[in-house]
Amino acid sequence: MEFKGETQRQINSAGFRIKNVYVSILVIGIFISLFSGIVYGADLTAKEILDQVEGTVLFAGDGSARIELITESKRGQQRSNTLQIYRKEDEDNTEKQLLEYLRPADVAGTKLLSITKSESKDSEIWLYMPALGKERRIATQEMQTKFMGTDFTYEEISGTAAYEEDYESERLDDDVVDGNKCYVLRLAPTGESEYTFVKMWVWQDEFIPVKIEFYGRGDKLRKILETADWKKNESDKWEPANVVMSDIVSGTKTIIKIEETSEADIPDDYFTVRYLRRH
Amino acid sequence: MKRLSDVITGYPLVVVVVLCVVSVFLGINALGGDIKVDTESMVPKDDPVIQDLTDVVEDFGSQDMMMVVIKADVYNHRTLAKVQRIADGILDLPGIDDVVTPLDAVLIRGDELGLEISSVAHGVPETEEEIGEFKNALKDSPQGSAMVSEDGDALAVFITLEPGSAASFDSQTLAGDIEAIAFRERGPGEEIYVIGEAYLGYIATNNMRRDLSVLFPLSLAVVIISLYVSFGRFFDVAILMISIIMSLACSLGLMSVLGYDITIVSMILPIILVSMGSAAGIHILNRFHEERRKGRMPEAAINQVIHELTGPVSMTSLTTAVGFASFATSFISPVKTFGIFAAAGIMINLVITLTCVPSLLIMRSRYKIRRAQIQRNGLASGTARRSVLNRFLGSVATAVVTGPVKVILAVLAVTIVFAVAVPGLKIETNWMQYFRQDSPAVMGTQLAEKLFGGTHSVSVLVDTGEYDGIKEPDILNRMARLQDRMDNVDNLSHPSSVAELVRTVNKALNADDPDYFTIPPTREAVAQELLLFTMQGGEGLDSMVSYDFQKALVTARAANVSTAELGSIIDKVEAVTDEEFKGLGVDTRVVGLPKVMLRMMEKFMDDQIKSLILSAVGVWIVVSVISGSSIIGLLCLIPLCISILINFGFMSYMKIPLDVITIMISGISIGIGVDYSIHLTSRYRYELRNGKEQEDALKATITSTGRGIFFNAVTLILGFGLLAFSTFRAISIFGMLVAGTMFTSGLGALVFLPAILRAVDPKYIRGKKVSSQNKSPLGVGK
Repeated sequence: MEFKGETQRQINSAGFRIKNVYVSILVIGIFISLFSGIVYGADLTAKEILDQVEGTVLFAGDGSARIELITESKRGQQRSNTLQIYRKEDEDNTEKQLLEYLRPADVAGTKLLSITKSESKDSEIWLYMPALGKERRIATQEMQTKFMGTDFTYEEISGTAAYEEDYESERLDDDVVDGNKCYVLRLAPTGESEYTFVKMWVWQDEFIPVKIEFYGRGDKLRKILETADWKKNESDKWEPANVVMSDIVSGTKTIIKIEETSEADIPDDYFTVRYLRRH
Repeated sequence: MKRLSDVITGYPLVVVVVLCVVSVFLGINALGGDIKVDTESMVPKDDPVIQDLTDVVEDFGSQDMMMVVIKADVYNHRTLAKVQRIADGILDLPGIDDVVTPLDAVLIRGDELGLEISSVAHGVPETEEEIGEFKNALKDSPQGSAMVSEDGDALAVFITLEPGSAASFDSQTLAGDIEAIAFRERGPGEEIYVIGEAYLGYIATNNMRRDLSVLFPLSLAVVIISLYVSFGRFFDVAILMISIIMSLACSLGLMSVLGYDITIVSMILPIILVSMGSAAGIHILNRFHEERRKGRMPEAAINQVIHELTGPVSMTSLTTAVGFASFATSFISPVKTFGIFAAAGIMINLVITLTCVPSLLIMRSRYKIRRAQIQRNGLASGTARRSVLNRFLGSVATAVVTGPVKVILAVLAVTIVFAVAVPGLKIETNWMQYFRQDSPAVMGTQLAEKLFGGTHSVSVLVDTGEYDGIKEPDILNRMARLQDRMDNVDNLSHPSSVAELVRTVNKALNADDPDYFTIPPTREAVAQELLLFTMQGGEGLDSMVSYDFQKALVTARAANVSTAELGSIIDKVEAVTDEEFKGLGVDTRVVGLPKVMLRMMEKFMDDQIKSLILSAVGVWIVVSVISGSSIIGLLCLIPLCISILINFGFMSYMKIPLDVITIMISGISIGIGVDYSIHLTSRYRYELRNGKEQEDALKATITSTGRGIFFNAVTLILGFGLLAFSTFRAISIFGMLVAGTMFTSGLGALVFLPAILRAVDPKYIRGKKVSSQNKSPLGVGK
């Protein structure tokens, strides 16, 4: 993992705030950090650190990204899908998201549209499969089931949790991750959760969470989320090129490679059922 | 021989101390051995059938199924909460790959409005209404309804072990932990069973430990008693026991030092060594006392005994070792290990007996030479006992000498009665038969079979040889047909495959219209439906299709039937598979544990024949070389062949199958049984050489050596007969059968062999004319 001095593969030429897109799909609440003023100080409390991290998270924003989503079996075999993701948030805070499969060829053109009203949090999900030529509505998923066959759960992906509110926080001894000094926080959820607590490594210089360990029943380590290849995009925001979620229990892994991001506005008609059928 | 006897008579204490030190050193290691039981470990890793299974495990995960079956009202919050607790507990154990309960079985359904792929229940249903919903959802899930009995009075939790732990000793520890978690939840009026190969292994290991701790001291007691009865001297018994225990410590220690586990087969090694370890010592003691009665001093008596008996005692040990060593070529790994170490144990026993017993005799004679009076009293009672035996042996001798043809015909008639049944002998490799019918392991398996169709899985591997090849509709259609046809095979049930999944998703996408329970027409449609399934969090695909979609499995549950029936199931599946996939360039093969069991069965006959020929030829060569007469070698084998034929015939009549354990009977019988023949013929020869006529020589042989054979046989019959009390059916049957063969081969040596010898011209037996008393009976020695 390299956070600084990363010059190679400056893939964010479009100047897109990757966080808003990929985070909305993957680990939103946890990862995105658009920090404004950083509080420097040696003796920050867990809560002060969290404030910094949370203050940097921005949910609003439109954009698109192309990612390669690789799922890896416990025996190290991989399956790869390339997806284009479009995201837009209306004035009334309705979240609209469109996923389109680009590769492999036999699923290319498969699209998934989700519209989540902010007040009800109810999602409407539509699926279009070109080989069948019809769009269908599909049922929403339980928060704790796996998201799209990856190692992320919907709970982790939707990232609706605000850390300060939903977690009891505690600061542990600082640590160094890949040469970068990190605060280490222990966050125990106060509400219903799959986890008994998570450990979060926050990059001290930038207040970005770079690694999270998830602990389940019996305080057993169940999953690890790691990021790598952090670099600044054209809008001067940090974003990782690689995100890896390892399921320690099942031995599987999900690797997300962010190939391309864009902040360009997405036309409204992308997020309509009618658009699903268009090529 | 002179050097050996010099060392023993010169430094008896040194010899004993050295032997003790070695025994203690090796014996300490014997205490740490592990016990290993599982079908897969019985077949060598490089066998093609095991290789296929290993490859499938590599691609699809473990094929070993474990179940927890709970017999209680299913549609009840208390039961379902219990199920969830058990599943959670098991999932937390190391080495567990997956746990599936009826609650999280996959549910795929659709209507005009949309499509749902989820688990049958979300959390444990609590209210009446939630339980009702669960019941309905279960009906719509083929996977879920296969896990609950029709009456709703029992359900199964399926456990998949990680490939690494499935085929190892750890799996038994794991099975024990699973049992603990499951049994903790057992409430009044409920039954909970754990089922699976690993659990059977766990139960077997526990039974073995218990058996060993009871049977081993018992076998020591039996040997002590029978030795005391035959010698009437406590000290002689003590000498023999010391040498037996030393041999045991050395053999088991050696096994442990070399890193071999104790298996279901080698657990009987200590008992066998205890029963057999006394044979050589008995002859040495007998001869020593004979010499002492003649008035010889202890040193002289020892010299004479070592000089005379080293040959025959070495020969009998060597032939016994050859009998065991013939298992070294066995296909079944534990039998192989057992054979090698039993042979080594016998040879170690020989060395210890030849050194330790005379040394102790010398030491004792020097120390307490004046207690002759007491010994004489002991002798007197011994003589009285022997006279009963003498009368019996005397009448045997008379019958043999006067009517050898009658004896031969009678024995042949009996043999034929048994021999005709030999071709009907059954072969069995199913684990279940090792347990008594009232064992919870057996009862659980039977219940699981009745309610859920079986505990083994039989799979057909379809390998298209190309990336994503399984997504081809033609292949899927064939797999679907194969699956439907497997459902019609007797003793197979609940088949599943990725084709089934695609058909179900296709139906759900078309508003659950049964007409759409088909494979969609294009590869893209298949790919998109599968994507939808995984996208929706559908799990379980990895156990049906390889990650690259090149290979897939069609899997069905097989009932726990006999190996022969499994064979017919596999034949049918292979035939159906061939019809569906012939000429497509698609590689198909049937895999699974039943295939391994079948493979073992196929190899059993080979093994049996190989072991028989090897041990017979080996014994013949050993006897021929040492005695210098190939005719004697052949004659010695005759009683054995008869007792083996009778044994197999008896097994066939009693419907006792040839299995991992009973397969060893013939080798052991040849190795041990030939001892009787050797002692008999060598004594007969000795008498002939000393100028006796044929009749007198035979009579003298039967009445003198006959006694030794009698006691030897009685000790072995009792020692092996003890195994009858094993909680393992296979081992208890084995014990009784070996005891039976010891009886028939003893009788053969006492009755049939002399009758044959009566019919053979003594000049073929006598060998070189003996001019000097210094010649040992078998022509060995200086």
